[in-house]
Amino acid sequence: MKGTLKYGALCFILLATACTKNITLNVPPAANSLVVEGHIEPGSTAYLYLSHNFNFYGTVSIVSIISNDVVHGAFATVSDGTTTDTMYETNPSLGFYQNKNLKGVPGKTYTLKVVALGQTATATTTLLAPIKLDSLWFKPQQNLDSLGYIWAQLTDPLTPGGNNYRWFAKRIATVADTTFVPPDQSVFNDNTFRGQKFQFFYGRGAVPGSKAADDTNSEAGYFKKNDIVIIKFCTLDITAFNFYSSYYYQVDNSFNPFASPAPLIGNVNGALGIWCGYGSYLDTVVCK
Amino acid sequence: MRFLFLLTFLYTFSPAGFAQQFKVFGYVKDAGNGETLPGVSVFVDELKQGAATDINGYYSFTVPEGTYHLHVSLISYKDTVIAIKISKDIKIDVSINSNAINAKTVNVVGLKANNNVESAKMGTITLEAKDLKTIPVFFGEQDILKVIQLLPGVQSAGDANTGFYVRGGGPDENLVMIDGATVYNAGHLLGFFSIFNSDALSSVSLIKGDMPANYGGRISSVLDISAKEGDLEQIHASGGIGLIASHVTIQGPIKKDTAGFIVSARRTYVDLFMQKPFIPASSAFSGTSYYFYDLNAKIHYRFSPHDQISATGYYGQDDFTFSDAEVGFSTKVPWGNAIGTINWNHIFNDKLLSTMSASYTSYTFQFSGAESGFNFSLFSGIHDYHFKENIDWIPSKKNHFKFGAEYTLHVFIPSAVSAQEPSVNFSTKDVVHLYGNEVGVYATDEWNVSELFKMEGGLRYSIFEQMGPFTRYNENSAGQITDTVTYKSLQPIVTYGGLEPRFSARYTLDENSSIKAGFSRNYQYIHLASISAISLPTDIWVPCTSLIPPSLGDQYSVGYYRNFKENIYESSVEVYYKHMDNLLEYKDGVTPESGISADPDENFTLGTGQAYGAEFFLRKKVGKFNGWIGYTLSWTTENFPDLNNGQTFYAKYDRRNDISVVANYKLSDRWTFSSVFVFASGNALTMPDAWFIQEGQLVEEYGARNGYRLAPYDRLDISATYTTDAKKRALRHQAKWEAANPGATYVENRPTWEKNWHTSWSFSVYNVYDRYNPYFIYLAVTGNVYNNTLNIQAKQVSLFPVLPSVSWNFDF
Repeated sequence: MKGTLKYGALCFILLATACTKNITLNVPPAANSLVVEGHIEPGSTAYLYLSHNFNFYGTVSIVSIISNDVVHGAFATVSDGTTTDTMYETNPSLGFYQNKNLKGVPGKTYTLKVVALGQTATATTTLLAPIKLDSLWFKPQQNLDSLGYIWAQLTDPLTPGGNNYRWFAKRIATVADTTFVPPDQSVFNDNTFRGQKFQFFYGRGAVPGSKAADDTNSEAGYFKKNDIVIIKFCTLDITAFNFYSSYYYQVDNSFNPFASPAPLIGNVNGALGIWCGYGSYLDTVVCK
Repeated sequence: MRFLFLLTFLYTFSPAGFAQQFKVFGYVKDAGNGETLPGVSVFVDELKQGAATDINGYYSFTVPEGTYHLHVSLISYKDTVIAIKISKDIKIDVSINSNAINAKTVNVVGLKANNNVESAKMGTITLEAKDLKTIPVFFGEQDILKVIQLLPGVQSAGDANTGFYVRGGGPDENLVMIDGATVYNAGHLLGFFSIFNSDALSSVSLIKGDMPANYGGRISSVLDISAKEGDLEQIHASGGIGLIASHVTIQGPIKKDTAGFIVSARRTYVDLFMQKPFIPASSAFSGTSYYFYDLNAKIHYRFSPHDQISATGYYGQDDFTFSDAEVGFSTKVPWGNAIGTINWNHIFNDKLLSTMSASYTSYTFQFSGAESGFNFSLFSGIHDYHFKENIDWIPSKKNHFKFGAEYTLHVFIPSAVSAQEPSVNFSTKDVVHLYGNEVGVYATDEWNVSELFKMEGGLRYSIFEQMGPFTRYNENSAGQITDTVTYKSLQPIVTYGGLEPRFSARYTLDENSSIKAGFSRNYQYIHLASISAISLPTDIWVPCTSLIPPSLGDQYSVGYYRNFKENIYESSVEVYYKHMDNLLEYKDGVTPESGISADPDENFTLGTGQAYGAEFFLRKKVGKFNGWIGYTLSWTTENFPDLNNGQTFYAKYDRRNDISVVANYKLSDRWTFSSVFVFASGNALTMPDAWFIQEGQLVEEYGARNGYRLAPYDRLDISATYTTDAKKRALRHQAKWEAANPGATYVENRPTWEKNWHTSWSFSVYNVYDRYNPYFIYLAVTGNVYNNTLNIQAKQVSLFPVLPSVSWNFDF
């Protein structure tokens, strides 16, 4: 959703006269905490990434994170209440885990349990029923005849408590992405259009740290004519929605000194992070 | 109940006089412009008895038959003594002249020279707007709210900010009023300037201690601002040109001695500076602009010796526009206040006075943006309709009763959203209006129990009712609606109320010293919800609902007051303790978008607070060299079960040490010098203490709430004011006339405006020693975690370096 309040613009004048200097902050280090990032989708096994928090101040590198902050050898299970499946580490160097047999079914509730670093974490999520999009199309931006956004029309069903949505996209041509990528502000809910037809658009997200040419040049953020894109449109519960809303608020306001601290409130007891059920619906759009 | 019993007991056994008493009553006016003057001491020298004029300049007291001297005094005015013979009730109107020597000094106005020792009131200070002219100013703009911040117990919200915190209370806990109408947002340009154009103001009273029962609705303080009345004698104009704004004021009689008007306007020219040369028409940012303006107007009409009506209006607006043609984004952000109030004062007799008022006030904020054909608009606001009747009853020289009632209809629009896309129309949900009725009834008495003992006690009972139309969606923890309750228009939803006792007393130790003690309980039924780390116009006002009970503040205070050298110097020490219940904060994880999408009252969590401290004040009131020193030592903590893991934390405006020094020196009739020095402990704020990874992004884990302190704040400002010499100009005119008319007797033939023409230049330097005071901290991220080069560097932003300014002012 592009209507985010732009506090930065409001401070334009203010910063014109400001003076800045480097300072050293004496903030006590945080306690060591396990970090969970897991999800489950219809017809798919659960995926889990385990790490722990690390020092905020100083230099941070992906090498040191992979070397020092990824959690290996954890004991993790996923359960639907009747069947419990143990997760295994898919790549010993990266901290990714997956189960083998249990697959997501809409309407079911799934419990994740992780034992690692001497800590035990548990979380529960409900896999909601997917909601289909009415249509998808590509629309070039004004003055940019080959670059544009993907638009969608949604008929929002009346659901008790409303619906929460998340959007991912993966190009399969002319460029092939390796994974589904969420764009900025990829979550929204139906509080402003509950039960009605609604049109919206998203640009193209980038994998964090991507050095691909079209993520660093003027094509960054746009889809391109002739791209073939799979859209993954998901429903998610209110806790996960709030978590990702805070996530985007924090990512977008990293440099905004006027923003209040927005801690990410997840659903994992005993750890930071989120265990999310995505009711996913897939559709393909050809950009033309 | 003990309190009630004590009041009853004291009144029942009060000693009564038996000698025949006669009433002395009337108005005190400024001889220069005919305006009535509040806060003037009128007393009989021989009896040491008297009264102070009320807000309408009216006084009344009784004395036995005899011949006396009536002594009328007000700082900044010449003392006036009138011989009077009392053998019957008598009305005496007095006009007093401004004191040329003291008028240009900065005074904290007292009712009598030793009023701070004699009064039973605690923590009440009045400033006159005309006395602020020599205080160093920020960008040439005089600002009464910034002077208020220099008083002990009052803390500035930040650099050049008009927001203020009183004794540990939040900025929404201050009741700011102009002529009886509530002001909801007192700041322009993120609070750098107050909305109050000092040209249009008469005086400002701050009650930070024990609020009398005739005030209610806030738990920390009252800032009661009186707008200037138009001159009843002749037309005057005044104005000034500053670095960023100009202002002009015209006042005069509509009907001589009966009706007068005053109109004042101010506008900034920041937008003109921004357009050229900083943002040329060819720039992608062309169209980016900011300005603010405000208009003040007041008329008053005395249509009988016993009746006066006044009408006050204020309209002010900030307007910010931002445009970036390259990304096709534009936004427009207007916000502002509109206020109108009518007051009718009626004197039934010398003992009974009525003040009836009706007012409307609104504050609105709008944000509209457009990008890629998608238009988005957000609107929030509050509208108040307020009625009040106050009766002053002065049955004897020992008692001054006030009783009355007030009603406010609140209409809140916490956030209304609309959106459009050219090819498709879609609806947004209905705009949520929240309606509230607030009622207060009160009675209070200022009672001279004996020469040594004086007390002021009062009771207020207030009620707040949220009413329909309204729909409440009750949800379970998964966010699913379990129940929907629809309330019809005017249907009561929830009602809160309570008794608010207020009490203060003074015991005189000797002629120059006294001790005082006070207690007050206040309910607050509306709250300002701020999601940002600083106050922004995006902050929204929300009322009590079924999920939000009223805040409650109990304050206890004790003070010692002593004057020296025939009241030239006065000093005081006040100690206070305040407990606050049902304070409001946003829940962790709430974002601005949450406020748009959810029922607004579901985003809050409730907690308690306590504040305590000591305030020390020493000032020299009169003389060529005058000023004051204020020091506050204080602690403010809060506890919210849902925040900071339930641990108690310091409020962000917890300020251990706060020092203000104000000094003025009048070198001559032409030159006056002033300086202000402030020191304050750093604000508390929350900082991240760890990273963690989500979806390949680094996100922050936060440390203890408000666990980090900014560096202390200190600053020195100086100013010099040069006033042109009207006498020299008159002599020059005379010499010229006599040269043109040799041998003739000089006849003053200049028009009135020319005779009265005065100009002055004010030169100010803000932040003389260029101190880089912390305004905020941000974390600069360089490099990229995927390049193994990401580095975090904390940076402190200081807003204003040394800033010289000059302004030119005139009046005639």
